[in-house]
Amino acid sequence: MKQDKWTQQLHDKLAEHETPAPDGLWDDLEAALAGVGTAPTPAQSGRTRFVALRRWAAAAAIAALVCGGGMIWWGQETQKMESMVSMAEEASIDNVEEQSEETSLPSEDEVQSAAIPLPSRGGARGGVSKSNICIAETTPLKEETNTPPLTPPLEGRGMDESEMPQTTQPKSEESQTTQPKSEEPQIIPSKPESPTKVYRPHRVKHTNRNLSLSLYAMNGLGTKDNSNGVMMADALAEKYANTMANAYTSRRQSPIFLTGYEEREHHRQPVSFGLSVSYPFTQRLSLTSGIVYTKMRSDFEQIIRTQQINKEQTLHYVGIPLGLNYRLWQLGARSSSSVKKHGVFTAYVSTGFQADWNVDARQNTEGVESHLDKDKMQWSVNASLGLQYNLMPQLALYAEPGISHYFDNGSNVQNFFKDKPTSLRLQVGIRMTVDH
Amino acid sequence: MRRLYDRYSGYAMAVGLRYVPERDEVRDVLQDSFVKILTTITQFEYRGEGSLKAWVTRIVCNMAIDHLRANSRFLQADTSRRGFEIPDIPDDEDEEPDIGDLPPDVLLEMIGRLPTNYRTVLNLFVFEQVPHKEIARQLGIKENTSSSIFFRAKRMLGKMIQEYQNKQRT
Repeated sequence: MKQDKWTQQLHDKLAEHETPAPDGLWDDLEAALAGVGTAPTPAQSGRTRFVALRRWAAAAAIAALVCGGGMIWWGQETQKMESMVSMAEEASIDNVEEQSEETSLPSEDEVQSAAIPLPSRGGARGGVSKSNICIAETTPLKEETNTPPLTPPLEGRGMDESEMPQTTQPKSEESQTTQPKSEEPQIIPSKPESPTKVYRPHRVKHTNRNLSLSLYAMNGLGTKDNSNGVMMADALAEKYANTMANAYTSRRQSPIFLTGYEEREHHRQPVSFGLSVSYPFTQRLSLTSGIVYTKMRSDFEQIIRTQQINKEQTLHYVGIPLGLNYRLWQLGARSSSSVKKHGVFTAYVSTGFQADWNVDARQNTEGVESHLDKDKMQWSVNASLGLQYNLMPQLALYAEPGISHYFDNGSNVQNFFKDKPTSLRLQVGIRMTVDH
Repeated sequence: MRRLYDRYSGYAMAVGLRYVPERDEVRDVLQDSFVKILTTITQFEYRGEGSLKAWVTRIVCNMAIDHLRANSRFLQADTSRRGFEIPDIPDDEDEEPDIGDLPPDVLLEMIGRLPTNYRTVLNLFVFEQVPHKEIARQLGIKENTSSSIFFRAKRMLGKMIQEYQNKQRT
């Protein structure tokens, strides 16, 4: 026992002993860590900044592309609409001439010789919309042949003209396409009536059949903080006591309470960006899918008396949503002016589910970057109320406040979804409507 | 990261010197240890008071022993079966000198003067409190060899301390 006591004295003598570390060791260490590829050297942070910049540039480029695409589509659509309007009038002529649309079609067949044959939409009205499209494609040809003998008495089109400028003015470059417009009316006067009202319902129907493409950003509402005092689990305590370097603790049999130790978690709002496409089944109901990128960051602090270890966890997810949108009501959509679709305010409800895959998981501990095990696939369901405002006929802004629930995927990864499985969310985006 | 280094480098240095008394060599050990500590801290799980320090200690110890092995002084010269064979020592049971006034630096220096195998076993048993069975497993020797080495190391250390104290008195 005397020996044990002496041994203990020896132990105690050096237990807290410290010897200054050699000068310059830290510098060597930094260099060594840089070699390992973990230290945040200036060069590396510069590179990450560059990569981040590139990502933002890519995101901006995509956004610009989508918006630009939207503009072009819109341009094309307005162009198409011009001819549509004129053709609609012609279609209406058909209606006037012969109440049966079936019989009106053959009369146009000769004109459609150069037309692109489009599949018939089925139903009586579908037949009309088909003819609209075909004629729209072929009008220039028709004009060339028919214009000379016709003269333009414009009285009957007074109401139409009031609408035309809005859609045609943005187009400046195409004189050819505006020409049909100016000549188009000439067909109408040749017929005695111009009951444009008859046409309009067809036009409305036509626009219902479209694909929507949206680019959006989303984030969860609220962040989650958690702060804990920690008691060591018995099993862990036993394991801990048995570890080689901690053998002295094996003398302690009682549970170990981790005094002076605290863990804090802070889960930041997940941020998502996505691109979605929706396909309408009916006037009100549409199916939506797409691709979503979600980034989640969490901060963990371990406070061990005077020591504080900060960990920052970043998880990247790519998800595929699938949902249904149901239109509740529309404001500002005058049924009589199908062309004027901007300024329309729409409210809808949306529900669906989403599968997210964790594509990358990283952790930064006090500047040391490391990879984590990836999270398992994450299922979620969501429901939201959507509000959409059309800036242009083909381009709309929308916001979808809603609620989503993330199912426990059984992984050990701590993230926002685990701590707050049911949370409010807000999705905002740009939606493009692509007419067939 | 720097804070962690500042907090534990002095302690780690003292631990390293117990195993590897040569200053230029212990520097390498320390550097390797801290690279490991700082790159694997994400795997560290806090398990109670002092566990971070214990974790640092364990890494430095293992690195130091690896260093001794790698330099083959330890393995071939000392841990070979023959190197560890200890002749029976007369059990004269001389009184252990009082170490109350002994400066830690001096004690550290004395441990450094012990033969490598003595020093390693003494370190593991006394300071890291590893049982002989585990020491034997780790160093590839017999359990009773480990305890024999320990007693001999302890006696050698006792003598050194006595000599030191005698010098101090004169």
